[in-house]
Amino acid sequence: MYRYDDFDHQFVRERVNQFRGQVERRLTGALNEDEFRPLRLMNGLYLQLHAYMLRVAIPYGTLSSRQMRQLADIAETYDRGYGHFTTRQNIQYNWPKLKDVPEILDRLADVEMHAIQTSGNCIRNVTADPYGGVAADEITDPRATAELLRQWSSNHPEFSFLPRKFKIAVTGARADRAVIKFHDIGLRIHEDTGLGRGYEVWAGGGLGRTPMIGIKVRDFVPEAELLRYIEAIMRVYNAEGRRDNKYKARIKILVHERGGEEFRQLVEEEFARIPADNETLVANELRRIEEFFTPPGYPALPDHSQALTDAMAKNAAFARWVRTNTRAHKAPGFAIAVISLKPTGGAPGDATADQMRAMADAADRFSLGELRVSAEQNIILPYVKKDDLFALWQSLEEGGLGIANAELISDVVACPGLDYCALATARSIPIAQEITERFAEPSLQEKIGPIRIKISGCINACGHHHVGDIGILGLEKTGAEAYQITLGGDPTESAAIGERSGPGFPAEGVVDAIERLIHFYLEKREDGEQFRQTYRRLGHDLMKEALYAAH
Amino acid sequence: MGKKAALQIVTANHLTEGHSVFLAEDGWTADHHLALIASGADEAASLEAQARKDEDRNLVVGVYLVEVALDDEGRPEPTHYREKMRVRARPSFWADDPHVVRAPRPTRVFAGDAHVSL
Repeated sequence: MYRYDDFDHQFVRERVNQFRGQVERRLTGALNEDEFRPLRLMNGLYLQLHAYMLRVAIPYGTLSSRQMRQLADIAETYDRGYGHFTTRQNIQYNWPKLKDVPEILDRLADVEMHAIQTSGNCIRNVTADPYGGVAADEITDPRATAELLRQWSSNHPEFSFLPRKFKIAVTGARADRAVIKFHDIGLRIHEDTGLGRGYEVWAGGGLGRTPMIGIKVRDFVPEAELLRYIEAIMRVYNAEGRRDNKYKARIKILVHERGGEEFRQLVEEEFARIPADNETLVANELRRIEEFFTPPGYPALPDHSQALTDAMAKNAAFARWVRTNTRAHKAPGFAIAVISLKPTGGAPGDATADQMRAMADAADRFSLGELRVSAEQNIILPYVKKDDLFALWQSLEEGGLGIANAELISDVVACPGLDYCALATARSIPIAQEITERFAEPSLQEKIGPIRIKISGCINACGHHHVGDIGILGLEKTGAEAYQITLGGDPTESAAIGERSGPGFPAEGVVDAIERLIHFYLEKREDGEQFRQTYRRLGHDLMKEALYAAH
Repeated sequence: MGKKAALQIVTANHLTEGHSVFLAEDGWTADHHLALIASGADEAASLEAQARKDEDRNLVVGVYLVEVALDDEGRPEPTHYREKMRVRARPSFWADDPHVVRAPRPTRVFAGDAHVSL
C-alpha cells in the first residue's frame, strides 16, 4: 500500500487545521452558511435530510486493517456505530456533528486518510479495479497510476473550480471492473502493444440524469505522457465546459455536443501546446510509487488446495460461499475473497463498527492486512491462501459476514436514497431489502445466476441504475414514490445503458414485477445463459412484457 | 402559494448538531408536533422571517416551510412523504432494526427567539 511521506502528512494536517479554524468561525458566526458551505463541501461535509454527512475518501478503494479499525472507532465515537460503503469506494458517516468534524478529520489523518475532494467541482477520489494487483486477468496493477493521479489532482490549483465534478477510473485488466466507459475519464493500461506501457483513454462517460457511454479519445498514450494528456483534456473541459447550466456542465455534455472528432482535435491541439518538460519526472514518480505496490513474496503453492476441496465436500454452506464469493487470483494457491455487505433485509453497504473490526481482523489473519472497497459496496480481501479459505469463512460467519451472494440477485447496489439523502425523490434501501428477502433462498439465487440489480433514489444515479441488468430509479409521481425500471444496462467493457421499460411501479409493486421477470427468464433461458445473455437474445420487448405481465 | 399550502410549519437543521428542528413557541424543537403553525401565506412569510433571524444568529441552518395538515389531535403532520420521512428523524427502515446504535433525541434542543406570535 502507498504510505504518506512527510509532505503528505503535513499537507493533510494543515488542511485539518485550516478546516478547524473554518468550523470555529462558523460556530461563532464569523462565517455565514453561504460562506461556509463551499468550505465544508471541499472537506466532504454535506448537510443531508436528517443530519450532516461526512464522506471519507478511500483512494482507489484500498484500506489497511489499521485504517479499517480507525473507521470503526470513528463510527462508534462520533457517529451511531456504523458506516456506509459507497458505489465510489468511499465511506460515509451519516450522523456526525459539525463541532466534532475537525476531530474526526484529525483521527483520519492519524491513519493517512482524509475527506478532501469528496465533494465539490473538483477531481474526486480516483477509483480503480478493486482486484488491482491480484486479478488473474490483470495486465498491469492500476493502483500506482491511480495513486499518481490522486497526488497530481489533490489541491490542483488549476482544476479546483471546474464547471462540475470530475471522476477518473483506472483498470489494468481485460475485464472492466472499474466502469471506465462511464467516467469523465477512464483509463485502461496496456503493456502488450509493442510500444511499452501506456493508456487507452476514454472520456465523456457518465451516469446521472443524462447517461452516456464515453468515447475513446486515444488508443494509446505512452506512460510518460499521461499527466500531460489528462491535463489537456482537463483544460479543454475547464475552458469549454458549460458553466451556464449545472445540468449540462459535465464533460459528457461537452464531448457529445461537440462530437468525438472535434473533442479529440481540441484535446490534441491542447496537448501539443503543453511543454513536455515533466515527462521524466512522471516516469520517475511512477517508479517511486510502484515500490509501494510491489507484489508480496508469494510462497510457492500448488494452485490446487486439497484442504479447500475437503472442506467444501464436508460443508455445503462453505462450498456455496466459495463458489459465489471467491475470484481467480494471479498467484497459484491464492484466491480473492469477497465479503458481502448485503445481508438479507440489510442496508446495502452498511457495516457496523464491530463488523469493520471483524473485517480488519480477518485481513490481518488472512490477507496481509489489506482490504478493498468495491463499487458494488462490498469488501474485498485480496490475498487469501486457498488453504485458509475455510478458516476465513468461519471467522466471517461469526460476525454475520459470511453471506454467499456476491454478484447474485441479492447483491443489490443501492444509494442511501430518501432515508438519508436530501436530494432523493424516493427511498432505495427498503426496495433493496425487499429484494434480498424475496430472493433470500441461496439455491434459488445460484439458479438465477449472476445478475446486477442497482437502485438509485433520484436521477443523479448514485446507485448506478443505468448500468444494472435491472435498474430501478425512484422518482416522485403525483405525490408518491414511484419506481421506473430499466433493463439491459452493463458497466463492463461491453458497456450499455439500460433501456426504460415503461410506466413506473408503486413501491409495493416493484419486487413483484422483478419476480415476474426472473421467472420468465428462468423459463426462457438456454443452457448456460446468464440473465444478460438471455436479455440480449430475446430482446427488450419480450423481457419488458414479462415485467408488466400481471400489472 | 396554492390553496393546499394553507397550513405550514418551519423546519431547519440545528447548526452544530445537524439534526432537523422545528420552530416552536419557545424556540426550536426536535418534536414537530410542537411547531408553530402558520395559516395562509402572510403568516407563513412572517414565521419564515422569524426563523431566518435565528439562521442569521447561527442557531440553525437551511430554513424552509413545510406544508402540514392537522391530525385527529390537532397536531401538525407533514403532507408530503419527504417531510414525513424527515420528521421521523431516522431512516424509515430503522423501526425494527436492533443492531443500529441510536442516540436518543432531545425534545427541546435550545431556545431560539421566544417571541413568535401568530
